[in-house]
Amino acid sequence: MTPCFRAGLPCAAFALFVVLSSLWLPLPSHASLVCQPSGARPVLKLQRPTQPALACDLQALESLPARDIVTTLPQALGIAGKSQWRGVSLRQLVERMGGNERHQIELTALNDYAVRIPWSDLLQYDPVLAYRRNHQPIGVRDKGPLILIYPFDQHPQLQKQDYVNRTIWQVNVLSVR
Amino acid sequence: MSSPSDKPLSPAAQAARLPRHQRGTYWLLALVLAMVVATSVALWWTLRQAQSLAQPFQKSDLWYVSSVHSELGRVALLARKVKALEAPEEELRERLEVLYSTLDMAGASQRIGARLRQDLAQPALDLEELGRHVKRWSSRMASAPPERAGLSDDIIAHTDALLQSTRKAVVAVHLFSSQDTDLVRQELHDHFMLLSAVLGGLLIGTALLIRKLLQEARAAQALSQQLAQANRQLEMRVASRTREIDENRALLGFILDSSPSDVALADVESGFVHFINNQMVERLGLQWPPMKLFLPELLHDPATSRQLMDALEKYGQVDGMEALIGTRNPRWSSLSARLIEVDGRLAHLLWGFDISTHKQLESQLRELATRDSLTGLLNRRAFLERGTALLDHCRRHAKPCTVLMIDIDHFKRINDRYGHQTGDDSLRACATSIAGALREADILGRLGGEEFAALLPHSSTESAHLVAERIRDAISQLQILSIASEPLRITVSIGMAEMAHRDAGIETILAWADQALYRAKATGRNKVLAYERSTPSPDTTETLP
Repeated sequence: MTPCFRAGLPCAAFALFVVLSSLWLPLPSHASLVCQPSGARPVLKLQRPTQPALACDLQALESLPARDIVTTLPQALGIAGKSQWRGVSLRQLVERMGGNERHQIELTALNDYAVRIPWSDLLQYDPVLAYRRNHQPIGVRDKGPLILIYPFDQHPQLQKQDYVNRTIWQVNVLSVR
Repeated sequence: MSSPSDKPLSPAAQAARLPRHQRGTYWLLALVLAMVVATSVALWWTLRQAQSLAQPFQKSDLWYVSSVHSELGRVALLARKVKALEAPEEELRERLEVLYSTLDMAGASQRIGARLRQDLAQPALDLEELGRHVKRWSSRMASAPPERAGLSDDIIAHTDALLQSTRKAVVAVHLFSSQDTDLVRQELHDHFMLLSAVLGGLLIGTALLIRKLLQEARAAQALSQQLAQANRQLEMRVASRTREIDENRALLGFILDSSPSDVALADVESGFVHFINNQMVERLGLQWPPMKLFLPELLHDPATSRQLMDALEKYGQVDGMEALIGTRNPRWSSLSARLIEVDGRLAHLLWGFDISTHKQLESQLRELATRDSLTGLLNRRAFLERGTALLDHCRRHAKPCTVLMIDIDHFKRINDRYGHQTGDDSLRACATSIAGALREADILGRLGGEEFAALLPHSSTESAHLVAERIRDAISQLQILSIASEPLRITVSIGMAEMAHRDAGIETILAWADQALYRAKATGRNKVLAYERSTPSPDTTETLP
């Protein structure tokens, strides 16, 4: 959203492109279109309203439109240095699952750590459920394979414990209720 | 808080109070400076604190240790399930990875605080031992199947003891971090107490300042009230003084206006009239008081004016100078003048007293003193005076001059016969006739009784003889009626004497003329005879007693 304040015409063109491409894209509510199972070991369980749970593997997630965030994480997270994080926009993923602002979004980690992400975060910061750090897949040892990344560098107001807490790693369940 | 500024202070009391007042100000100034320093330090410290609080910092030691404990528990449980073939080996691998990442072997030094490592040696050692085991299990899990065959048993064998030591570590870390938090709390408490002290000082200082300001304001108000009161009193006094002065001035004006004297006060240079009374305005023949008045122009005669101004310049005052004032209708006035200073400029003060009546009386008196009251001719004294002057004149200019001595014949008889009234009438008629026969320059006087004398300048005996004859003729022609209306004839005898060059004195010439008259009387009257110098001595000795 932010870059759109600067450029007038290119921004409008970009918006038009997004709208047109979204028309061309498959309908979101269709379950099989959220992630195509490829037989590999699933890394993310999707729990959706009024629908059976889905298991996604990394390949399926990588086939979804990717979004990059380049940022340094707060010191408390223990991941030093500026990195490029690539992943799925959590908002797109939730929308593909048929979720909207009326639903509660909850992420759970392998160690049962769980956080609730407010819808406003998705609108304001559009965090990414990252699967690659500096083009490399992230192992479980390194807090992978999925980690929710907020664009800390772009938004100074994110320097709060709230967002440190919401930066959840080793995510294995996305629940939309 | 007892403020002495509530009631107005006398100047002396204020002077005595000033040093204390100033001392108070210095104390307050010092306090304010101290407050400024304290506040600056507090501000600097607060800003530094705020800077360190800009980033979130999490004391996650307890979470770390308890996570490790719970993950270890899950691994132990899973190992038992794998051994009983109730769970896939893959799951155990994942759990081990999670435990590995939870232990955070790579960045262990960052995860466990330096103080924790220092203060809690045993738990740190226990965790390091656990780390070594997990590393071993992970590498066994990653290797080929024969290697990892007894892995579950290995895990089960160690986990009970490890779980117990980890549990102890959790408790120790909990105690430690709660103590640590309390230390932070105490530190914060101290800091806030310090900050409170500074703020309290600030509050007290502000209160003192406000009190000071209020005091000053009250003092200023009292002072301004005093000032206003003093001002009012002063105004009242000035007003009353002004009224007194006005009254005095009005009184003075009234006195001067009603004074019979003429008064004027005018600037020397500009002629501005400071004061002029009605009397003076009237005297000058004006309807309104003039705007400008110059003293020299006031006098009728320029010579007198100059004299007055000279005297004024020389002595600064002139008293009782008689002069004609006014230009159109000049009148005699006795003038007194002063050169005085009015508003720093020279001014002329003029007092005039009208002496026209005096002058008139004076001239009348003079007239009375010189004239014969019956005939209006010069009396003897006046005749002698003027005659002397005329004689001198003639002598200076070497001109002849002749004296006629005229005497009415038998006048005693007229008096006796017709009465004094007729005698007087006759005298008057004669006087008129004689005067009519004379020239303008001649002088005529009645020397006494029925005797007249005339002095004819620039006339020799010859030319005077003609005049004498004309006189004798004119008188003989006179038609005079007595009271009883009887006509009477009058004749005169005339003696003449001419002034000789060497001769001196009117008296002598008159005596000579008298001798000639005596001869005329003696030789038959009604005739004119001249004094004869050849026979002076016997005649003179005979005629003069």
